[in-house]
Amino acid sequence: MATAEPDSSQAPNELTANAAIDTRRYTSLGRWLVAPAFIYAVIVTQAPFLVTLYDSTFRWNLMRPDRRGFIGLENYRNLLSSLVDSSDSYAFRAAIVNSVTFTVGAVVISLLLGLLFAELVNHRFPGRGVVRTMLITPFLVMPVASALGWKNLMMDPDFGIINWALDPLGLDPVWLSQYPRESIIIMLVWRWAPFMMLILLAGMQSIDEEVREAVRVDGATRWQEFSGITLPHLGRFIQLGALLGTVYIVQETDAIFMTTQGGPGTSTTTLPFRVYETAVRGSNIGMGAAMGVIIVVLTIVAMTFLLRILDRMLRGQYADR
Amino acid sequence: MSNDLNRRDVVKRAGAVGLGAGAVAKLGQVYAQDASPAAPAVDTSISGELNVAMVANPQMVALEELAGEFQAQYPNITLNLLVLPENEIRDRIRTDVSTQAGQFDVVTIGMFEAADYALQGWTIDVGTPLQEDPNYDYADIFPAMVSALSGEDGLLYAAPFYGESCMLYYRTDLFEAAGLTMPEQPTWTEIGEFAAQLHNPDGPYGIVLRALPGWGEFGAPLTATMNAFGGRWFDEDWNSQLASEASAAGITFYTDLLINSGQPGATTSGFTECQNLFNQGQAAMWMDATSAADLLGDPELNPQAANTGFANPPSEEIGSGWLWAWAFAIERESEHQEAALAFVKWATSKDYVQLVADRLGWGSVPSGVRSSTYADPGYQEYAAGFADLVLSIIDAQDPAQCCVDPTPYKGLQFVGVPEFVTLGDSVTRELADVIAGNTEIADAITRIDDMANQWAVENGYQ
Repeated sequence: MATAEPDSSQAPNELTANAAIDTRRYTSLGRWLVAPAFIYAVIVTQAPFLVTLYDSTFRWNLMRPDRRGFIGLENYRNLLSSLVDSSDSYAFRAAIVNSVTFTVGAVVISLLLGLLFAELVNHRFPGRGVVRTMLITPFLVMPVASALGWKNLMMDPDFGIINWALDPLGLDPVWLSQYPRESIIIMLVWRWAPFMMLILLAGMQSIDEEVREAVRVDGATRWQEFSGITLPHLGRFIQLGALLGTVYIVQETDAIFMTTQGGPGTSTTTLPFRVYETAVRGSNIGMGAAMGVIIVVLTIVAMTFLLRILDRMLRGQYADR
Repeated sequence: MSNDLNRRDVVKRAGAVGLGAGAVAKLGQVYAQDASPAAPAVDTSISGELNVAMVANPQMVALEELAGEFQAQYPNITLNLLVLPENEIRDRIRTDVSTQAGQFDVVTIGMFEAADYALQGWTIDVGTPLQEDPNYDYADIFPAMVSALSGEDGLLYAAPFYGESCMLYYRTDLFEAAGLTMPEQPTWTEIGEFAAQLHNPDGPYGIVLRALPGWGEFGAPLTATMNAFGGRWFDEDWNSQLASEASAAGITFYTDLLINSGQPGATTSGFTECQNLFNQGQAAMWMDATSAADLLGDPELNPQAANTGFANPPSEEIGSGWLWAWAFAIERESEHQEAALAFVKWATSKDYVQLVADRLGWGSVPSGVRSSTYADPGYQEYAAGFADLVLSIIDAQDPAQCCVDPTPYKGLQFVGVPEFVTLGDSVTRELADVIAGNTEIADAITRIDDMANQWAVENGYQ
């Protein structure tokens, strides 16, 4: 890694030759300096992955060491065949569908609400500081505590505030049983909309006030100002929010763990919850590892796709300028 | 160099001084003990660092409060208690025990795990040394508890701390107002009729029952009900029996009962949620663990205490119920087995029950394990409404005989094999979907029957 290769392109004069040597020396030194971080990154990311790959080829339930044995790709075969099988016996297909639904749903709605909140607190009005703090608060509440609050204080059919408020309308929905998916998305949005608001607010505040003033002088309406100036400027911030939101929300399990335990049926079983159930609660290390590997592959595919779209959008934006 | 030597010397001397001080302190204790006539016949010089992991149920929290008493008795043992909520600590304990990591010396395990850990050789026999101590009064422990916590070799591998079965709680005032009488031994059919009659969609509901997915939540009352109807999970060859006529009748009865006369949103109700509904006066009946009786009987904890009635768990084809205990097991990898045994003996002794009663009151004692607790006038007075009933219910349970037909597994409210966790979780989730109104019961039964067969094949039972 650190051995300097002989330079094939001979320098035409001393000056550039010295520069080349210097660069080489720096590169070589740089590599050594980077090495600890690089090795650390390999150890903490690749080593566990290799162990997971290894584990996934075993029939291995921690509770039954007597039955542990190498089974090759059988865990994968079972999992993948269950994906196309109508019974979906590992609830893996349901978990993929739910993960995508929850993530996309929560990210899109959080972004819209975040945009609304950001636009609101970007204007001066009395009590703005208080409102801004209150809007951010949900993001600061511990996820487990907020899930418990949603379950017992908000959505409970007997003691919940939502049903109490809906009572005069003659509505009495049982949130977590009748609308489990919607309920989970509501909890996720409540938690993540403030995050989007923070990112978008930062974007809005970086808009030059002079530009705004100029359009106002030109007689633009509030909506024209928003759609013509604010929104285009926010493009990159929206992309950043969507990307970070996806990365974080796809991992959310607290709300599901505390309220529905993945049910009823498989309606709220997501990928992380499914892996937790299999590997930790069910002690089935082999199958849990196989699920993990498939999720990594799916994530890489999805992220490559997403990043490419983002990249194209970014380029398009720069081309506009 | 010389500096180094000096330092070593100093350390050595300091060590010697420390040892000397320790020896003096030890002598002092022995002397003090000899002076006191009521000194227990235990070797209090046992030493070591003891790591104990416990589920944070109220009984264990009480133990945490009283840990100072143990320390006073065994001053050379350093006791580290790790007390965490059940969901969190259970996974950690299971991982620690099964990988033989040896992070803990003593752990609380349930009836579900005890026999299996013993079979794998992860825990040691505690029964033999406990039996040898006449002060411990081993025979005082309920035989059902000993049998359920023993390994296949008949030795006890976990000492029961507190135990429970299940019973039916009901509101005497609502029954009186409706002109109904609860029989001493109700059947599920009768319970269904009572529930239908007493049910008010805006509360109080006819009955509250668990339906939160999970083998230990929804799974427990469901299995007990299925057993009562003459059903079982598996036949002797591990063929699923969930779709058999009797099992399906029990399952359908349970889901129908909840749909027609149960609490709304039952699929998020576990033990705690049901207890809250009952305490808030939102339930006419509730079937659940007998350990709730201690809480329901206390007017300070339950506003309905004066109107709470207690009855046997409902029967149908046969009487049924469940049996559970939290018990202390010692890991084989523990380096301080002697100290661990001293702790287990202290925490599960008769003296400990008295200690809790004296210091924290009878409501906090670990009950359901020793006959002497139920014979104690203090507990008799405190638990006048239910002590005898609980005693007779626990006495009637036999984990080896859950069902009308023979089964290849032990366990009343679960299938006593370690892999049952995943099956129990998926089956209850599927049935929760029925209660939520998204699936027809017939389709769900076909699905769970397939699941159970596939599970049996995958885990090498079929």
